[in-house]
Amino acid sequence: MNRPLRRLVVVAALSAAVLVGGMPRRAAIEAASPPATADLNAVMTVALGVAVPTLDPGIPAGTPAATVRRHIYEGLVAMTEDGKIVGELAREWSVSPNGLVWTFHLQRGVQFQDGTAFDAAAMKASLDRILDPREALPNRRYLEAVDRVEAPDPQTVRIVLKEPFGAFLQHLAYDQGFAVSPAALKKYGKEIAKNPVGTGPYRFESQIPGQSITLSRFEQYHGGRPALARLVFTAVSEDATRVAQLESGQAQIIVNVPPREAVRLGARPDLTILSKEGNRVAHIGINVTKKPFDDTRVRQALNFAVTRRGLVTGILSGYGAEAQSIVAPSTWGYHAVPMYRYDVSRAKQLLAEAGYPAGFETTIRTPQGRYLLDRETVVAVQSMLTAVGVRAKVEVVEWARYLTLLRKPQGENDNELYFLGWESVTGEVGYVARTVFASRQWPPTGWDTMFYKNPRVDALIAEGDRTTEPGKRLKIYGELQQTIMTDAPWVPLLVYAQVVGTRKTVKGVAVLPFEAIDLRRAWVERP
Amino acid sequence: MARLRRNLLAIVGLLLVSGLLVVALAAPWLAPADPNASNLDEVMRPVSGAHLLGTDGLGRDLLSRVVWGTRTSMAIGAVVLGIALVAGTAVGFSAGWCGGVVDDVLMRLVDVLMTFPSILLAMAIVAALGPGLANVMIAVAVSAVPRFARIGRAVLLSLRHQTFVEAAWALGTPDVRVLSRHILPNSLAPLAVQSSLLFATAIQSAAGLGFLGLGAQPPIAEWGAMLAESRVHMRVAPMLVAAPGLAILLTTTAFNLLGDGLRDFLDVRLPAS
Amino acid sequence: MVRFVIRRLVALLPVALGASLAAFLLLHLVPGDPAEVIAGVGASAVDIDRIRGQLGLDRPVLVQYARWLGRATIGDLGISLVSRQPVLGQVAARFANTLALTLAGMAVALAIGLATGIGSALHRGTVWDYAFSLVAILGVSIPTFWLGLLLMLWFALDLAWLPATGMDGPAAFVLPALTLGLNAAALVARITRSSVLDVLGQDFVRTAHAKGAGPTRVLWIHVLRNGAIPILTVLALQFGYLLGGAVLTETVFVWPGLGRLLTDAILQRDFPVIQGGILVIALAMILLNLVTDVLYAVVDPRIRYE
Repeated sequence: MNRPLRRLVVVAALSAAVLVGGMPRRAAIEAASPPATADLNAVMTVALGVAVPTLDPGIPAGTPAATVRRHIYEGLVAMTEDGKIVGELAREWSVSPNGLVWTFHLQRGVQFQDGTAFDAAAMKASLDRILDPREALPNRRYLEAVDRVEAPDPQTVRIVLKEPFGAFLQHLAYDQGFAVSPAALKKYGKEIAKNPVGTGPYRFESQIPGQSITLSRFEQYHGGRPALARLVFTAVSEDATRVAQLESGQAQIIVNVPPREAVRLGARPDLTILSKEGNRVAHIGINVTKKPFDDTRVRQALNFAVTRRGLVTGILSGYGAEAQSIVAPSTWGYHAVPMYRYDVSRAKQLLAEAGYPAGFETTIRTPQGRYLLDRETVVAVQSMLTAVGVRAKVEVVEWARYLTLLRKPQGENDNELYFLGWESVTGEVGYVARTVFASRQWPPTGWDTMFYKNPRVDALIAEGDRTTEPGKRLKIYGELQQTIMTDAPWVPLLVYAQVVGTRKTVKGVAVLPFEAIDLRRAWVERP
Repeated sequence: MARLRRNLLAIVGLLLVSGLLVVALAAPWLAPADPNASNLDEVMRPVSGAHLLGTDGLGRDLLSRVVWGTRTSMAIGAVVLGIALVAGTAVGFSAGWCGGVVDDVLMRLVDVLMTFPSILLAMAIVAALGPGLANVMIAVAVSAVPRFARIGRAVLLSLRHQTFVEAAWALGTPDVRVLSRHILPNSLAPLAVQSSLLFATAIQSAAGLGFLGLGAQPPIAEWGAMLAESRVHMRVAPMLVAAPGLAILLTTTAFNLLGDGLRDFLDVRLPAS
Repeated sequence: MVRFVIRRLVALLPVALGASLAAFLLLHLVPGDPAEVIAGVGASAVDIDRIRGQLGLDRPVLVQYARWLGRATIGDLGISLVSRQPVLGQVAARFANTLALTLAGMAVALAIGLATGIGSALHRGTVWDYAFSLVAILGVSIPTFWLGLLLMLWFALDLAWLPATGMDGPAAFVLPALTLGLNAAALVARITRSSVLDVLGQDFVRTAHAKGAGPTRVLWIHVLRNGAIPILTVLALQFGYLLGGAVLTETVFVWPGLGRLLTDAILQRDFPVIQGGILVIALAMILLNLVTDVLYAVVDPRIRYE
């Protein structure tokens, strides 16, 4: 058989396999050793933006926690920088034709950091713990679709779902899918949060609560000897401090580099700036039950009144992108809906049509310091809205209270406009759709803080969840995004880029789409 | 020569303060642009003909914001002074006049308030009431009342035993008249000095609270808040930090100069409290 | 002397109680239900009621105060809502850091203030004296946080001579101490100057000169001893100011002190920490008052018998 034909046959076969509903995949993380130029005694200090409150994979604690946990724990599957799913502790897997039974074949020779062996029983124990309602772990909700976990033999884990769930692998690739040493669980119980034991390349050594967490090399890591002797994550909330630490070398890596500083630092020969478009869409949420925002024309007018390009260049100094949908381009299932070009006269026209030729007054709520330049962004938006006659007051609410305020039940909820940033933690659009735009997610129990309700959208979300075939899902989600954008319960503004600064001697840093960084393949060059 | 120097200080202070008052009142006409007009294509531009002090992180004209900030600060100073002066002297005068139990109780309360460093007291009040310009004014005023109470009391006590007061009493003048005819006019001098100094402290405290994020809410141009906002751009656009800071420095110096100058000029010797 | 100390303590006790009451009442000044504020994000009505019962928030305010005070005296200031750690431990550790910074600031203030104050008193009327007055006024008027930002920008960020933030090592003390102390230094300088001038003009100094005592001896022994009281007064006042003013310096230099802890607690509505922190500061100030009074009594024996 000649080359092109052979290729065609292979592709056809693979496509067929995909259509059948699952293709055995090879682990992409192969055993690798650090290059010869690496300094194997290196201690890498990483300055994160906030402290990590807990290392229990069952408790969500933000992206800094996700970053640290990524180095201690591993799961059956993992997500790469590009949002693809690859095997980690599972070397191959398949799903049954009815989409209910996922079978994973495990890697051999994997050990936990406390010396105990990793096997199917251990994986089952870790997952059972998350699923156990008595443990009351918040991350349980990501595995809601799971009915039970079976370990028929030490190398096989079988997960049975209650109903087919297209995004299952993505949900499994996050913290709740991590393997935790059963021996450690038995020993520490709830204190596992402070004494994590996983199978990852770096083991937990010590921590100073609120300040730093120190990890050290796990020599028996199944993926090859890790390159760093120690990995220290520190919590430095002040931007200027983090930048100063990078410049002085006190920290080798810093996250959340302010855009202006990134421009300046990038010019230095001893530093490298890495930027990756993230997953998070900053937006103005609109309470659609409050007048005048119950009128679609008013909401669309707001969308026409803002210049997203101006925000990207002016506030983010180019480190970001305009948001054209409810999710970011890097999210699986993204469908651009560029219907809102910056058009002040169109905005005014829509307002006039809705009965507000002279505009009206409102309040925009915003946190401060939770998102990059959040307050600045909102003040800029305030100025843009004033130009079309919408006179907005900005109310800064401290983050501790912010979410409670947004989630007050409809009767007590006095929010009109608010600033928030949603990201799809699982890397696919369904997550945001079903968490934020489904009508059953109205506060106080859910996250539909816009009180948005569209039966067509609800139907599309359900269909998207039920369907396992990727091509079909894309179409469903395309229609979903078009519908939501037309209804305009949000004014999507920006997609942030995660800007990471490193010393030139640091190599192999991967920036994940959900703002975490992956240093498992990173090393420091010898000077 | 020394006397001339003392008068000179007072005069310079007076001139500066007057100048600031003019800027504050005339802000809408003096400011070259709308302080809240954000132009995202002109972010952090350096000094130029169009923008004499450049633009800030949101493309707003810095000079205009500094000018309007003068208005905000002077308003803060005036309100704080009004509340603290009236409330504080009332408390102090009552304590000094009535003496005895009333004096003890009032001064104990004052002592309690004075155990808290004033900025912490102000922060705590803002914590309870929520951030915002009005609450900052209240908080700073409340933290300034104890000092005025003490001063008012000291002034009253020192005047109370002067011969002219005793004479008025001997003549049977009613208390109210003694207060308004004899005591108040003679307390004006020390109170004036303290008022000027308080104005300076009030502006500083409010700016401090603004810097901590507890002050005026956006987009109101307030110097402390402006410093907090521009801090993140400090290395790239130092003017954003220099200008509001200099404004605070200038205003505080002006009122301090005026206060000191008045003190020397009026030859006020404040009795130990 | 001991009697004097005891008398002062007794006089300060009601003030201490009043301060503790004020610190406690803070939680109840907040509009809304304290139990709801403490229960935090996403709490259900059931949770809120449970917390109300647990913390005794359903009892009358004075009863709550008594219980809080009682627990405070044995060292239990509650648990932080944010870090879930005991308040006392956190507050004590941070207070130590603030104290260290304040002492450093005081040292700066004393060193610069005394030196310039004495120097200008001895050279009164000259150009230096004028310059001194100008600089002193500026020093008093300069906003601390702005000064801190500028010092950080020049010496830590641009020149990288000193660390910009944090408390690692003695070098980290330099910029914050300078920032904190400069305001106070200006005040100390002015008081020192007028104090020295006052004393220099008095009879006993001329007598000492006449007796043949050298100028240095005159200065150190007589002038400072007699001029000490106003200087002490200012120092005591300034210590209090420094303790509070440390809030801004700590924010600029990210110093792990009580001021920053309180600011964060205020922004996060962490009431146990706010109450505990304010109480500790109030007590520290009262202790300071006591110490100052004792120092006065030591310096001026006449005071002891008041």
